[in-house]
Amino acid sequence: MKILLIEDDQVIGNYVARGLRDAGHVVDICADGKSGLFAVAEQSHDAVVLDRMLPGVDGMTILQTMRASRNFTPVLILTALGEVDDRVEGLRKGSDDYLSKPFSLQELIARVEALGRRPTRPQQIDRFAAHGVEMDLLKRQVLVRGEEVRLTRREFEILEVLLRNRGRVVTRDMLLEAVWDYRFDPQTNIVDQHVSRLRQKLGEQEAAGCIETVRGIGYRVKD
Amino acid sequence: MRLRPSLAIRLTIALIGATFLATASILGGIYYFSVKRPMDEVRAQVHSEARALSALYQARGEGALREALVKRRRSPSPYKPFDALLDRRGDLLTGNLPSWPNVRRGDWAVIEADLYRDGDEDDHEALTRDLTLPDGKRLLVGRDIEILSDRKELMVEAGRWGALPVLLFGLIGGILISWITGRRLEAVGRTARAVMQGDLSIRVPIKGTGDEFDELGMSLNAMLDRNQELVASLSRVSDSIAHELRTPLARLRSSLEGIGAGEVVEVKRVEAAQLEAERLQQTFDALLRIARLDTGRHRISRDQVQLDALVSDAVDFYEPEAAARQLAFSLSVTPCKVLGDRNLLFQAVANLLDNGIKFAPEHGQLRVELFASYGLARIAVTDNGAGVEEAHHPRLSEPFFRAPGSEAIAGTGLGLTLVSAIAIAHEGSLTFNRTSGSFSAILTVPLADHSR
Repeated sequence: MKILLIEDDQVIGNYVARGLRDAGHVVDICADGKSGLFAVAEQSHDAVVLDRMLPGVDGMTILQTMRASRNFTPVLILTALGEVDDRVEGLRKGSDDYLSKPFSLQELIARVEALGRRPTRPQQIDRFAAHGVEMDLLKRQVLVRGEEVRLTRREFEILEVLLRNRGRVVTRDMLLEAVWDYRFDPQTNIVDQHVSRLRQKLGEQEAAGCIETVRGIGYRVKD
Repeated sequence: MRLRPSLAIRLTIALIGATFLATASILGGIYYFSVKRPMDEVRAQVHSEARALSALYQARGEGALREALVKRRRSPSPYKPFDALLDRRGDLLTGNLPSWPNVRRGDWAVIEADLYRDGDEDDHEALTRDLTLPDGKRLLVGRDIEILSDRKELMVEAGRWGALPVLLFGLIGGILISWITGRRLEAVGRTARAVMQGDLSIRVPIKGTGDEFDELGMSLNAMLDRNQELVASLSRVSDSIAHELRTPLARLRSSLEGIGAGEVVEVKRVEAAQLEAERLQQTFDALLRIARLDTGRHRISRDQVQLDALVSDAVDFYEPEAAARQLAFSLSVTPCKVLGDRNLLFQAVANLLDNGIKFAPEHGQLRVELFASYGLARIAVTDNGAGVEEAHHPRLSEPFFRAPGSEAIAGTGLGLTLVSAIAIAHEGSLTFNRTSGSFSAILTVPLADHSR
């Protein structure tokens, strides 16, 4: 992916850029709002990582300008304020995701990659199949080697999110937001317990092959 | 703090002025009723008598006038009548006035009418009407006004001598007021300065008279009490923050040092360091959220929230954790709506569940109930653990407070503080209830229909 990073803090900027490059992406950095504004106008990036507080032109202004000129490049907002009201404001103004500082680099990479995969035209997918697990969204049915497995609503949704992002890491926070739709801090590793239940239902062999744990970050369905 | 000289002087001058005005108005009243009005009456009487006598002379001649004058001299009155009838050359025809001016000097005259009694001169004055009759004779009719003149002089004298004590009393009064108020204000000022220098326990002395100074002092003391409480709780919180952050920082540091020293980077050490950093961040995040809620800087959204669905979601989310601890988890909800921020409310319920799960004994019970009554939604999370003694209930919402016996249970120590802050931001409350064998944390929030 070609990623534009607009961040005024050099340490954070370089750290994030290196992380993204190590993950195999091409990164352009802008250190202030004004040059950021010019860079976005080119529309040559697959995703933009935008710091909210910038000298000169504010991050929110850049986002508004982009959306006003019908530039729908996915945007991940970095906010130091890190509070729900600010985040909601960000989302209302058309950012696609946000992350509050301090964040883990892997969380950021996972989220940026998820943004890049977002289809510009949402295509209707109603069937997934991986490692002997078949999922039918219309029938709301999961088959493991042809045999139906009964899942709870949440387990079904977890599996759906993981399969949709096949080959990519889905962090615990991303799962929390996608499946439970609440933004909060669970303080414990309950997401892990939900995933481990799901694994058990899918069966020992498939669990090992299908849902992979990425230590300290989240989960991934192997390609 | 003495009263500033200018204020003392202004007070004194005002007091003297007021005393003067009061004295002057009393004297003026007395003067009006005892001098001015009687004098006017005498004047009117003399005027009408003179007119009547003059008319009598013109109508019935000198004989009748003389008779009338004699009769008049005998009539009793506090104002002794005087008269004198003179012929053209100024010789006395009849009269009891001892003396008179040789020439007429106008209609009215005040004439010396000293009386001699047993050889002593008795000062008298007469208010006299001086008339020229048509045939050239001169008639003087008057009455003794010595009493009134005396009174007038007396009052002038009284006024003159009275000014001195008035001045004196005003001065004394002014000094006294300045001194008394100055002393009371000085006490307030002393307290303020002591507080400024850092002694928060100092209070304004109260005399117990219940006057305005006492009232002011009590208001100030109430303010100082509240300030002291807030400062104490603030310093308690910052102490605990410092203390709570030292431990994970120390652990983080030792992990990092271990990484630096060792030849081989141990994944375990790195992970331990990451975990500590994460915990620190969680604590900071929680503190920040609480602070923002507490100071009202976090304006919460006010959406209709289906509370029963939210509680069910939270229970559903924590169910694996309860199962892992082998708790009997029961849920009963009443459908109801509240106005508020769904993410914050979910966080509050989540924290209560997290606590309940942690504090319930193994194989214990955890009951989650949602009631709606009297305009309030009440979420009660009840476990059958030992609970917390009533005496500690008010402190449970304090940051980093740990009830005795709960030291071993993991947590930031901010969970209930955040719940309480969220409850208050929703105009609700967090309370606790302990009965034999169960302990409940109860989150109360106003129902949507009853909210503004």
